[in-house]
Amino acid sequence: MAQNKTGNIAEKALGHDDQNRAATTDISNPARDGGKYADPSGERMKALVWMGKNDVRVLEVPKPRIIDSHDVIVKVTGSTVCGSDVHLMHGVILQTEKGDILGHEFCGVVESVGPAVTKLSPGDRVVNSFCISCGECRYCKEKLPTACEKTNASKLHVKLYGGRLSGIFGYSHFVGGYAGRQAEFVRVPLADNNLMKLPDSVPDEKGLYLSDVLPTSYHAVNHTGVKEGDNVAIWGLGPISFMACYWAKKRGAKRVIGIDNNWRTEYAKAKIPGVETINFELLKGDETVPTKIHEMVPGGVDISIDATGGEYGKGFVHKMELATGMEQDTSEMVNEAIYATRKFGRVGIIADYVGFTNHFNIGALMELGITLVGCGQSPKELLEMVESGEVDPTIKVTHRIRIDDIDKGYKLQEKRAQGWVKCFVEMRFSAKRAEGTPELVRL
Amino acid sequence: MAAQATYAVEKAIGHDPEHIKQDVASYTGKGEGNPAETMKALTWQGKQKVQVVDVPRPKIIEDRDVILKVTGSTVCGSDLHLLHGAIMQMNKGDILGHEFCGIVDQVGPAVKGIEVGKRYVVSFQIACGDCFYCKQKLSSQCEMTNSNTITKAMYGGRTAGIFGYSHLTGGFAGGQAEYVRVPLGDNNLLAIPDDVPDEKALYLSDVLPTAYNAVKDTAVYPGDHVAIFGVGPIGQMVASYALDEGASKVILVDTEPRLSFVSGRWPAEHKDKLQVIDFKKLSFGVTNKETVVSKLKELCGGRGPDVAIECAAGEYAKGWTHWLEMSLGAETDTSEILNEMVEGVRNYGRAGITGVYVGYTNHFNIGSLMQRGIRLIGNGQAPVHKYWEELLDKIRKGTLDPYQMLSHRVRLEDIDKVYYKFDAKEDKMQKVFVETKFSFPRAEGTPELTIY
Repeated sequence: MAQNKTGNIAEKALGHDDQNRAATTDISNPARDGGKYADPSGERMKALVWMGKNDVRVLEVPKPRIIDSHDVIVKVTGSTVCGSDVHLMHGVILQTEKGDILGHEFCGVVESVGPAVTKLSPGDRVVNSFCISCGECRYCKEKLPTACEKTNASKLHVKLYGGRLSGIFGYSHFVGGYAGRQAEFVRVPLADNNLMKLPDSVPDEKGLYLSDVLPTSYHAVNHTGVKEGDNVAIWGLGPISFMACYWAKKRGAKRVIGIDNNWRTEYAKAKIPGVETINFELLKGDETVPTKIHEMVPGGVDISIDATGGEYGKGFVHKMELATGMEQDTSEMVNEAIYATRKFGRVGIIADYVGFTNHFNIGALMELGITLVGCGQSPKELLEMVESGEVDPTIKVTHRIRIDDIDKGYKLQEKRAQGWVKCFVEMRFSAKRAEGTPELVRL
Repeated sequence: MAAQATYAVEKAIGHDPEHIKQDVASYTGKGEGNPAETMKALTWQGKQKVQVVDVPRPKIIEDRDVILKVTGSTVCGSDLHLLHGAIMQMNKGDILGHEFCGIVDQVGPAVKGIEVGKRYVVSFQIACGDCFYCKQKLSSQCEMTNSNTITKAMYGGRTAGIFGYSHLTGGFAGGQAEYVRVPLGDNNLLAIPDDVPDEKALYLSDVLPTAYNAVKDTAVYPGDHVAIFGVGPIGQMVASYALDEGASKVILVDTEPRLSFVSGRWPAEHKDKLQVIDFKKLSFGVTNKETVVSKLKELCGGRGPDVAIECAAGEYAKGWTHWLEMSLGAETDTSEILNEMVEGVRNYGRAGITGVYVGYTNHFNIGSLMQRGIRLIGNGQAPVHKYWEELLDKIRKGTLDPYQMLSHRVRLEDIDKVYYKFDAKEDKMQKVFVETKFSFPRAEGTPELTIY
């Protein structure tokens, strides 16, 4: 928490980097700066707002309006909660400010378009990309939108990382401070490049997950180069890892082993044929995750993928170092992965890691020729697979809730309680529930 | 001394089953050497202490052993880690040295294809040729030549046996001596043709393949901007290979005297591609002052180079935090250069590690790596067998010149003094050729003998 405050102060001192911004950043809530970004009609809407560590609330805030000529205002018909939103709730993401609207995944119907918008019209059904990219810079041209150079003005970010990520919706001023998508209306800058039209044949309950879960899990498997016959181990069994197991199997991986400490191991085995799991709470005596993997796959797996999160310290030492700010991320899962991978194998990190870690096993990495792949945040393109039915994103959807209950949803996501894997959040504008998807529950 | 304590632990825990005889590190054990015939060898005597002493000559112990009469040897930057006591499981009296060439003196009964009296260079790693890794020519990860359990515990796997590099790698007596026992001799010797002098062939044992592996494994593509951290012999050869791969800009990060040495020997036709950064003149950490990272951005269009290759090592702390943590054992390697590489390269760039890192590090910038999609590539101990024939070919064709790193010729008797000079970077020492009483006359175009 203290680090968050210091981050904000540091940014104020270092100054924003506003050159070359392709969109107006840091309007994380239309109410900021005396409400000059709010819709002049004075209309209000519900939104999930960050009010402090472990304090997220559904509040009434002003509706957004068009600010840049390439903006679009979308009426939201579906949203959700991400495992990485839980990092924000815990206050571990730098530069989160009181009043920021959270959420980076949504689908909806276009309500109004700015004068420079050419590909979208009011009434279009759309899904967003969780990252905002300009489409024109060097990285966008290489189809690496999360490395876009023109949508994030945070200077602290550059100082800490040596380079910049693109802007990301609803994910703090560290990545552009754009208002999040867990709301009834959203402003989408550079809309032509950041919204994808959904065909009528794809209901919201499937299309929504093209914003983040599907491309992110796909990218983890793609970027680490999982190929036919490979043995793969995946840490964590949240929605990302779950879908990563799915993609790995689809690519012909021989064995896919998912690792977690709760009922999600059973859920994964039930939903994805052929997946094996390790519940690390049930390991006995000297057994550890890596020794178990070496037992199951002598010599180690070809590829490991970490989809957990830097904030999840397992042992006492790391928990203490995280709490006191000596490190921002634990190295435990990454070390397990390095240890469990065969020599000259690869370890991919798709989970959120944000800063510095201690006790990182660099010796094993160097001596055994391991490649550690920062997956970066991921690019897009899976609509055809969803449309044709080749991929069914709803296999991971366990709950449907209303936006009024989304703050309680965060808590269930955090605790992995009540069989919660991934939810669909409906708004007052939502279409009727698609057949075969979970029924609405009040929390 | 942590180094010797871990050796005691290893003795207590015991080895994994041995496929070839382990821990013949000084030929002084029973049956290991011939005490009636002695020879000179460079031995480890404790932290900051190496000494040339007389030891028994080695003899054939296993059927595939070869005894080599050494005609050329050298000192490696990684030998300095041993001198510093940074590598665990050293024992007083261990013979060092993993780069050597010579004439075969004796062969064991099961050795095929190796002729007594002919010249060979030896690979620094000992490979069996048959296991899962050897079949893929990944000889440095051979499963049959190192039975050490501590490395397996620390790393989840272990490297092949290595000459003269502590009991962590099998405890094999090294080549900074007049004679060496080469286990599995028929798989670890490369014949040296008559038209290649020792002063070139010797470096096929380690430097040339290690630098080549760094470039091939990390990947340098035509047009790339490449930053090289540390320009000792490895870094210098990495630069040379990077130019061969078509790099359009090569940035050397080090300080004097090395920057001048390497710039002085830089090929004239590639002068326009060379940039140097003297890190001693810059700041480091989170600051608005100039740092290695900010300089890299400045030199590469604001984004940073496409590739960075580390040829320095984990024991060289710059700032006092890391120095303190390493002294206290809170970490075994500093993350400073790693962080400079991760932060310095462009988004989705690559950083390769060839310098020796042995254990755990703190304050590693995993956030930058994950968020910006950086690949951190442990190059591993270089699989010599994968590359050495190809590199010998390049030497014979004249497209690879090992002489560019050669700065001194010294005697085996003086090799202990050389260790200290090399460590202090005195005399502009980059890479030495060590002659023994069996050596051939000095090849033309190489440095004359210096006696210390």
